[in-house]
Amino acid sequence: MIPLQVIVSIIETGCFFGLLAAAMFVVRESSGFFNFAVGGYAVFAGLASAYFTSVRGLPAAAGIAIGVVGAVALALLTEVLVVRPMWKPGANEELPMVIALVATLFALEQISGVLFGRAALPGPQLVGDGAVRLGSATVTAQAALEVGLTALAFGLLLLFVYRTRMGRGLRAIGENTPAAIVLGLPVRAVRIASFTLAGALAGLAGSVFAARSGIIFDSAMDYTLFAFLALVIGGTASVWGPLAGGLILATIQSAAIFYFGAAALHYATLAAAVLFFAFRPQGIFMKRVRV
Amino acid sequence: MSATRLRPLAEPVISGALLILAITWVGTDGYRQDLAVLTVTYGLIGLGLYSHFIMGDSLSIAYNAYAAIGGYALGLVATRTGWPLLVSLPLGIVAAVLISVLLGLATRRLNGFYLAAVTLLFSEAFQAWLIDADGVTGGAEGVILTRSISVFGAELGRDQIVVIALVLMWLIALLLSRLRRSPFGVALRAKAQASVAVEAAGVPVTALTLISLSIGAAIGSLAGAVFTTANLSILPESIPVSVAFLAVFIPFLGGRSSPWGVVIGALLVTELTFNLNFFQGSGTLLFAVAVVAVLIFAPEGLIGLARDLTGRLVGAVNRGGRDER
Repeated sequence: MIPLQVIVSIIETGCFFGLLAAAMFVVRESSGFFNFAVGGYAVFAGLASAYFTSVRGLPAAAGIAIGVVGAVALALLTEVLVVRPMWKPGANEELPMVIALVATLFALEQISGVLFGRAALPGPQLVGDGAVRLGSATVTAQAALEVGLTALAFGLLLLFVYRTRMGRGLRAIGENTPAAIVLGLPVRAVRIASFTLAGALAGLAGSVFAARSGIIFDSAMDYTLFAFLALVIGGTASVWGPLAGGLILATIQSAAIFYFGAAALHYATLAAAVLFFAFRPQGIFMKRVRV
Repeated sequence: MSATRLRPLAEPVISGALLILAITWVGTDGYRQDLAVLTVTYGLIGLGLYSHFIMGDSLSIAYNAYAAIGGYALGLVATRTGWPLLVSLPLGIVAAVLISVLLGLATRRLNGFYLAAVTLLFSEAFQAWLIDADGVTGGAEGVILTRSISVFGAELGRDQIVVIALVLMWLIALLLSRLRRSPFGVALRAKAQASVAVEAAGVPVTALTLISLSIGAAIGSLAGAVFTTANLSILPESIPVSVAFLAVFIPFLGGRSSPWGVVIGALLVTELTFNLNFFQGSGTLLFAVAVVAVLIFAPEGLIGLARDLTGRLVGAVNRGGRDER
């Protein structure tokens, strides 16, 4: 049986993956493609917040704010510089653009390395060292903060997607972009909103979770990959999909490490991906359309 | 009339002339040889991807694994056996092809980025295994080759290896260019456009895909062999997972309309990541930015850009002339 302490850590990792997957999810919903640059936003935000707190001595809250704002700016830049010139609605020719997003991911990774250094940095500590005993496990204040912020982010995302005009537009455009254009929906504005959200979610994930075990510039590709996997496992039918997928992915990875050692992480992730893609490619939450 | 008859010869003759120029430019200069080896390694990896991705639309990207297999085959045959090293080339190719076929069968229902994600995870798992299985691969230390490839009893020096590598890349690019226009290539490209229709026409699509993946894996394994022979060592770090992405970027950078675009892309990558590496890997940054810029401003790559410019030039010279395309 997995000890309670490991389960606490699984929940933390799952929240991290969930936030990253949610960042990918909002762009997927509004524009129909995977934004593989989200890992770059997270790494940039994490490194920026870590740099400004541990090297420049700013308070943790200011560091995190800088990180999130930086990630949002990068996401908006991606939309303006990469997506806008390359996006062809309904042409089913999105491959070059998505490849460009992958190249953007690498560019962001390298920019973060050049700006903030290539060494691992400790993340900003927003809360003290306090901890609560929970049975046989210790829940640190940091863990509670991570879970709380994730819950808050998903709550707000849920309200946005299902209760606002913009959120309804987001779902409509993702469903059928050419039709949305014909109907005169504000496609560009909704896409910009979704990129802003993606930047904020990924930036939050990167800067808040950096305090767990530090952050280093070359994790961007892994972040993107795990976000993609979490999104595929969870499915895109509901806002809860990314979170569920993130938790499942974290469980699989942590269980593999717990039972078989550190190298098993990659084997287990591969096995999980092959199994999920083969048997449940639409994810756990499916869209059911009645006709 | 004679111009049309000479046309099929233009490609091998022009590229062959460029090849001879490249070989004379490299000469015995150690630095230029490094550049050439890197270009051929990247070029072969990109050419491997060309067969199944650019023509067949299967985004299977586990190229660091195939290259590592080719490299480790050399290393292991050199250190563990007394066999001639040339044996390791077919061994590496067979092993890489087997892996690619197994991976292809496991992922045959996947396409696009789902396929890319699974093959990328395979790349990472393979990389972890290379470090983990130190009984076989020497772990993170890798394998140092104690001898070089010998032909007819004479060991090949670095000078000869570089020339052979360049010729190899030329030959493979030429063959792929021919393959592209062969019935096989046409079927493969048709499959990329409409796989259901091609299957309905009686072409075994799965076999077609597996063959194209095998061709790619074989070329990828040769890339690892070239790299290892030239450096006389192979370790997990020398072929990192990011190679899988380089393989995807290279054809887009050079141009997807022909295998020669891959060669141009490989030249550019070498120039950007090796030659212009001013400080701390800024070359990689420059390279990533260059890929984004090319994809935005020249979607057909540099070859497409050149073709576009010459097309416009020709059009300006004889207005109303026929359109090449």
